[in-house]
Amino acid sequence: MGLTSPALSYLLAALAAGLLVTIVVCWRRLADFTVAAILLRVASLLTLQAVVLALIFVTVNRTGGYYSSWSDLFGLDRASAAVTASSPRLGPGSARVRPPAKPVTVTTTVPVRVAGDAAAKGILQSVRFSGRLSGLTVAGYIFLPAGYRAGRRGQRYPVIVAISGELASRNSPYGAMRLAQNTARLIALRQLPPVVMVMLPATLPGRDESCLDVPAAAPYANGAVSRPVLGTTFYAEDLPATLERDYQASADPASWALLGDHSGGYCALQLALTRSWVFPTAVVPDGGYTVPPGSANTGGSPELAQQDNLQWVLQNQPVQPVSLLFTSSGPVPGASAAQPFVRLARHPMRVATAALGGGSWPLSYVLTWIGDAIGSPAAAGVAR
Amino acid sequence: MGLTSGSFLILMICLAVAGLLVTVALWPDVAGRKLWHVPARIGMIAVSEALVIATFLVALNGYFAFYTSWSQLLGSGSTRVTGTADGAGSGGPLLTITSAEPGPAPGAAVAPQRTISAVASGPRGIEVAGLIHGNRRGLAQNGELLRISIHGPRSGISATGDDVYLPPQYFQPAYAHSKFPVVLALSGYPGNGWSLVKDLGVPAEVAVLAAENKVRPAVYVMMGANVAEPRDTECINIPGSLQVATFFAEDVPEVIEHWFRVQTDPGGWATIGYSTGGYCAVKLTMMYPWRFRYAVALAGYYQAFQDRSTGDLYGGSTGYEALNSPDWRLTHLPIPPVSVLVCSSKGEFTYRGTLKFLRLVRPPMRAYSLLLPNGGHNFGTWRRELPETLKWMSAMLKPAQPAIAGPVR
Repeated sequence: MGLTSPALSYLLAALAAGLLVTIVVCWRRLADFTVAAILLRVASLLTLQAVVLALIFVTVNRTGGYYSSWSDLFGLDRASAAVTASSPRLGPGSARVRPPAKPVTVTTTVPVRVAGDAAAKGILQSVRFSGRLSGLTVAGYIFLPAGYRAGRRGQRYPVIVAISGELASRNSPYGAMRLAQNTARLIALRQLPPVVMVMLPATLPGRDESCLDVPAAAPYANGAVSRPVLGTTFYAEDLPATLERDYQASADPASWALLGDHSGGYCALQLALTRSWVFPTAVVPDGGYTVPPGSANTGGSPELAQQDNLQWVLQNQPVQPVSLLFTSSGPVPGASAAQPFVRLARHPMRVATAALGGGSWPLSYVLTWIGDAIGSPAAAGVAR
Repeated sequence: MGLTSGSFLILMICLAVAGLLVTVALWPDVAGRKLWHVPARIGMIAVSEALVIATFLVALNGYFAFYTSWSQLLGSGSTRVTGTADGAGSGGPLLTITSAEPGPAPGAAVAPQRTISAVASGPRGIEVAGLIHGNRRGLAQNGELLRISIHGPRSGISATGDDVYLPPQYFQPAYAHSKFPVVLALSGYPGNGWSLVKDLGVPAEVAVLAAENKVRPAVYVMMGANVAEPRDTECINIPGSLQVATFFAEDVPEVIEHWFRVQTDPGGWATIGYSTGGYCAVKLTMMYPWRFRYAVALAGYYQAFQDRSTGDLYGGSTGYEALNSPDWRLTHLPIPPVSVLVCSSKGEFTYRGTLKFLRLVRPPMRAYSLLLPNGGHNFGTWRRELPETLKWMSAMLKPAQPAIAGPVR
């Protein structure tokens, strides 16, 4: 009879019941004070116990699926096998298998110039990222400082990742060209070390406006509707890997910072709080950040909604070793909506607030603050 | 009295024997024809049965180390995450060594008894290996087995009762400046680091294979996959709760890289596990391919699930559950550039799932398999699979480079 056959359990159960009844009924015959009777009592009790233990073992083993046969139980199986490489089968789904796109494609390159400041230089590339793990294709910009030479060994640059909804704007301080000009100016003024700045939109294709890994709404249905949007994976896994490989970006997370505008602020803060080992520094506008921007992505799950409420995260999950700066456009930061963050911040987190400056370059203070946080460029090889 | 202590087991055995003796001694007193004698007989038998069963369970638990303490057995599992994390250089230590002993000699079993012989924890970057024994010659011959606790600064999760095996080469002058590859081994549920050391026998098997030159030296970090036992946490970042994936994919490598001479790029990191640990190994490697490049699953499964012992792991979201399923990821997301070795045996409930997973793998991911013609979901079967899997990881991982011998003068 097989070890895992239910019949074995029934047999043992019947045996145990039979034994119990027999012992109780024949009790008086074993009640004498002779040696034989005492030994028979002991033997009958031990037999019953053995059957009950066997019943428990066989039943637990069958439900847990631990030992598949008698030879398995007694360790008689000796067969081994070799490791074989499984040849990738191109089954019905193979139509979707495409060679991976280039991680980053440069579409245009323009020089960065600042009127009245000849030393402020650099180049601004329009690029398209193809996230290897997220599968997201995201258009953005990369600013490269004066003196940047592709492929030059040794030099590794700190990275500022700007997440903005106004990259195309010529007037907003968060527009791509304005950010590049501001950065070039500050580098020329030596208020900022030479940095690579990556500028990306807050809204990712597939409609994620919060840089979250948004689960699929109906994961087991077919069709494009059921696809997840892996915003966090794009920013925290794909982007650093691409910039370290294809640009001279520092591999030391301490040299990476996030800068969000009003639409990218949630993204930046969320990434710093949940991926602090990738982004230990972030600058975001004043705000409460209790709900991610855009449509509700949680499918009604209260736990996912909690996880997306950044004040809840700060209050209930371990405080991360990050440095945050909340900016306000008004003059009085004391009344800002970010007060909960200031109040809740504990070691090792550091929180500062600042009012954005006026004039042509309102982000100058913020950028020099980032420059202080991310330090000077590290030489290659000492990273990590 | 400890749940797994010898004295507790002896107490239970005494109680069981006493139960038997009392039944035998009182036997004649209930041998009459009175009506209450029959239930009294049944009651006496039931009590002695219960004592024997309890003794059996305590012995079984001591052997397999399912639950290592009363609090683990009875605890709610919700107290393990601390409110604040220790930042670098502040608060409690991130790594604590509670015991150290020589590694197993080839062919010998690991020491069955463990005594807490020393406690050490150091600031970051301080070499902690070999501190306790100090016997460099013995260490250079058999390596060292450390019992450790890790506190994760990002997840706030603390894990105790885990083990690190440092190979003999770690203490040899030629490797004094070499960085070793790392194998992160994860237990099933329930289980802990000791299950990997003793029941699966990872260090003992490594010592045998190394003596035969079949594996190259690596550091083995052996951990229980369940950081909040008795809850089964399945290596998942639980929404609004424990961030277990962050603990294993970020905190543990960060701590190990700070205290041991190990490689930091993914080509130097592999993860292996049995049962739940196998699921964890494959899932973590697919989700964090820049951290782990290789994974081995001994009787793993490839679909996320939840049951009574896990509680709600996905915040009620099937979409979030799907993101934690290797099978689903393979059919819906870009394929990561990693290599996995999946093992199972005919007759095991993981066999069909393993074959299905193998069919789903596509480039750039590479899959290898080891399928036994017989076996079950137990350590006997996994020990048969272990040597081949250790050799496979050794062949894949970036090896530690010994210093080139200087010119002879």
